Amino acid sequence: MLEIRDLSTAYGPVLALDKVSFEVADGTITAVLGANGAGKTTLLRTISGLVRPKEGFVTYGGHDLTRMAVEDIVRLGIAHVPEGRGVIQELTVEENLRLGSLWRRDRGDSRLALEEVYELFPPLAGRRGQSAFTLSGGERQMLALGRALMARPQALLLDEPSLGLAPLVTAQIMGRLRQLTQRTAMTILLVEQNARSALSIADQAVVLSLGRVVLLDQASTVAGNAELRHHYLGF
Amino acid sequence: MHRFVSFTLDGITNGMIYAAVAMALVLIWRGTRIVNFAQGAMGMVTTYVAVSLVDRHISYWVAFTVALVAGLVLGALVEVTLIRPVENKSPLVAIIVTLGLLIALEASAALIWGGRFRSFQAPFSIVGLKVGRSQIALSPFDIFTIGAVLAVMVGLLVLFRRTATGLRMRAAAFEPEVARLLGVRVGRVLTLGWALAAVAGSLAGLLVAPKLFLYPNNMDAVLVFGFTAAILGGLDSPVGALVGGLVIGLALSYVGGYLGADTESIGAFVILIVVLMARPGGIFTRINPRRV
Repeated sequence: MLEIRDLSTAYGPVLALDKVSFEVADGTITAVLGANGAGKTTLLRTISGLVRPKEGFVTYGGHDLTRMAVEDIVRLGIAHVPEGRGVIQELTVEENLRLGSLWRRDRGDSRLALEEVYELFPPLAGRRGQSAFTLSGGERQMLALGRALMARPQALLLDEPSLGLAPLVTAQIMGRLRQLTQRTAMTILLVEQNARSALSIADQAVVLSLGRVVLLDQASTVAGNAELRHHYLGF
Repeated sequence: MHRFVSFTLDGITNGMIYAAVAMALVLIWRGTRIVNFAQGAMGMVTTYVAVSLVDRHISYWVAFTVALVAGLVLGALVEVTLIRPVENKSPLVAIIVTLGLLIALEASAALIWGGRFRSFQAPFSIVGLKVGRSQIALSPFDIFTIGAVLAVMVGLLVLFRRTATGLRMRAAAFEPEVARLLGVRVGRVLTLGWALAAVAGSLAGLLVAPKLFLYPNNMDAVLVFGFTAAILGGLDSPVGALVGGLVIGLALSYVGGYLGADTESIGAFVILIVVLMARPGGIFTRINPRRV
């Protein structure tokens, strides 16, 4: 279980997260929704150790992540796919993927994971030797996601996977995510501006506004309640 | 014609040394976006280590190896103790730190080993080979110089392209934050980059000394030429460092040969200025427009 307790993160005098608390049960998907500047990206960056919180803590499997280095948090099985996807354009598709599992000792399983990623995202298989620079937006998202899966993570932090993608591609990616949690009991924290598609696959929904949790409920409840949707998500 | 061939051979040999220095600068630039002005001085210090061993009748090859290992250690040490603390400050701070290190190393070398010119006997002759009846400007030591730098270049290329460590180094150079999110210990990778750079710099020092003598600032001009070569190659590209080194070596050899040795340094500056005006990115940089 991933537990976030009274988490506050500040950039100088500006409070980006204000006493955020919620839990994500193993094997479930939680959608983190909210407008630009609500603190969604900061939340993920604090969990993965890229920024240090002012107060509060994040615990996962008995570890307090707020005291750990980014590289060690990765080794607990938490993979963060950053906003803008973080594909390294100067490397080939396969080098990007291999990078995802370099820290693992098990070389044989890394090769297996590579084949599984190619199976999950067939367009990548045909481009394995090409520079990641040549990929389309959708392919880059597949690469970033595939690279995170190379580590066989137990928890996945996804920052706006639908950003800049056509609706059809977004639907494809969301479908793959649902498939993954069902098959591998993976926990997913999904940050999205595209609330509709995120709610369609999530179990739980967290709505942030100006760094605070303003709504925390079952995803189906939020999706099914026109008033909540209209008030907090604008659709 | 004979003169031209001599200048060309001379240019290639010197160019390989500049390429080694350029390679060292490129390694550090790629990882940390810092130009290490102490690179030459670090090579000078490790060359003194080799000379001290040879003075004690230890074999050249042992001294040569010890000097390269000393470079490895010195490079790592400098990164951890001097560069790491100023890592998050403005890049200018780190550059001033390397300038300070340059002065400190040269002054320390003068204190420890004295400021006089010392010769450094190489196991190969530095007298040009004879082809037919005429002597050419290529000595056995020159051949060793070219071979040694090529070996280090190929070694680094294989490391970068074919190994997991090299993949980590490239990832950390291009996208440090993404690399950390993928579990790459970027701090260690940077230390390794500085260590490898110092090995290349030490090699340059060891190869310069038999021809130019060894004294505390014998690497100053070599650093300027190596820096020009690195800029010419784009500061980002190992292959650019090699080609840049050769271009500078040849250009300076022709300038010095035909116009007189005094014009060599001016020649380097002219090349530097022309390159910065015409192609500020260098000749070999692939500048990918970044897409979000």
